[in-house]
Amino acid sequence: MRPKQQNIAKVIKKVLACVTLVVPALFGQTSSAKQVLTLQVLELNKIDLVGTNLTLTINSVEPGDWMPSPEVNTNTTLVWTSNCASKKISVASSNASSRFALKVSTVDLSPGAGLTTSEVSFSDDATRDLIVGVGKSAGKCQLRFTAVANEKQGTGADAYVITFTITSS
Amino acid sequence: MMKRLAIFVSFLTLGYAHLPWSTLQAQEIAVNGGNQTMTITTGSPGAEPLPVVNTSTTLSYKRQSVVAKITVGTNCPGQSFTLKVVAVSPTKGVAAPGVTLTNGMPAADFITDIPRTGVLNATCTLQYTASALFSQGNSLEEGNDVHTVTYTILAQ
Amino acid sequence: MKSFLTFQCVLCLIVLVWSEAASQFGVSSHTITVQVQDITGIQVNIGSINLTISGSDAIAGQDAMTTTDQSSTLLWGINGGTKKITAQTSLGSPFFTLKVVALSPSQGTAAPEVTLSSAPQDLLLNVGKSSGSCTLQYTGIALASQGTGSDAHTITFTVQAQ
Repeated sequence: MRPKQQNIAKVIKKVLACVTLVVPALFGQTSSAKQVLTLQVLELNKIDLVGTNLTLTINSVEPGDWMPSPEVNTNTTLVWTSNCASKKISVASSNASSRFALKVSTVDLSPGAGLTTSEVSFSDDATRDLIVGVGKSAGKCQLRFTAVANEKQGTGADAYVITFTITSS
Repeated sequence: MMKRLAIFVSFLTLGYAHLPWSTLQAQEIAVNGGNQTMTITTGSPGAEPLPVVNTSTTLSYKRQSVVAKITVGTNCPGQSFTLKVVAVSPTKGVAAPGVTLTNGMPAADFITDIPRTGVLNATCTLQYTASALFSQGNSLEEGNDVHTVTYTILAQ
Repeated sequence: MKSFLTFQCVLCLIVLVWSEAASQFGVSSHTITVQVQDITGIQVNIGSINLTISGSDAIAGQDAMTTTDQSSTLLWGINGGTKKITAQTSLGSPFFTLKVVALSPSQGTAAPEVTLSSAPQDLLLNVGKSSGSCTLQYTGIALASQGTGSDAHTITFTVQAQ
């Protein structure tokens, strides 16, 4: 290698040494770090009952006409949360042919959480609307169960498994 | 004749007496490559700064009339960081394990079992490794560590 | 003259014998300077994470739905001064709420949980010279009334002088 080439090689070596020292100092050290986080909220609908299993017992009569008095229970609370518009809450009974009459309606429905329909009778196992117009909200209401019997139906018991469902309107 | 001999001996004695010890012995051992600066520039978060290795210097030494060894020591007042040295590929003798250079340390074996026979000259590469912990700070706050590293060849 | 010569010879021998007696044949020194630059490094062990609020995160009757994530670890290496670490998001106006807090920092003091915004907010304080880590706990909060959707955040953690 000629002296001139040697000098050039030396210069290149020095430049590389400088780059080796300076570049990490400039770019190798970071005083900040980044992380990408995506927060996604999916469609969700939750419904639940607060209360225990109920037993409605008809054991009195109306004074005057001596008809069995209806039995009313409002110990159960229905609660739900939905982050979707246009939902409804429907109700269905497992008892397709009950002997006595059982009805349900809502009481103290949360304002803006939906619109109550008329009282629902469990005459069969069909699914019926209980609350419509359920929007993006968390709501609750009390359930008013009413059991009715007449004197011709005699005595006995009906067992129901009642299911509340939040679905699209 | 006696007078001349006396003058000669006087000069010889004065010469030995005046010569610095290191100058007198410069032929026996020498560090080649000059002074070095090692800079630690990067570190991994959650780990420690990356050590820096320097192999730019060599040590030349001569065999002696007896089996000899080379020791290493350092003087580094206010030392903050860590410096290690190891002899790489000594052509005579056996390299000792790496030595951590600490200010005021007693001289530590560096190369041992240098035979008194064979070729006169020998060399090895000096491999320095500088390291630091994040907790040890930086030179802006602590200052640089300046080591005067001394190699001594002596009878084993 | 003879006695002077004898003295000189003895002196010379002493010098020579002393050098041999010391058994030290030679010494050489050089200077090694160790320099450590001001190093500040920070990183997150996971580049991107997804935080999803789904049915399992909702409780019937409650408007607010939350989900948390503790899968990320923030790591740092700092060799100068007392520093703090801040966090901020690239989203100027996120639709949902995203909070972050540092859990179990090996160094420093965790700041109270903060709601991420585009302005830097303290995450860790009094971080000294150390190599350390902490767990990042993200909490996503959505109201049922907000409906569905997603926010894509780029979160920046920065080491700053305190």
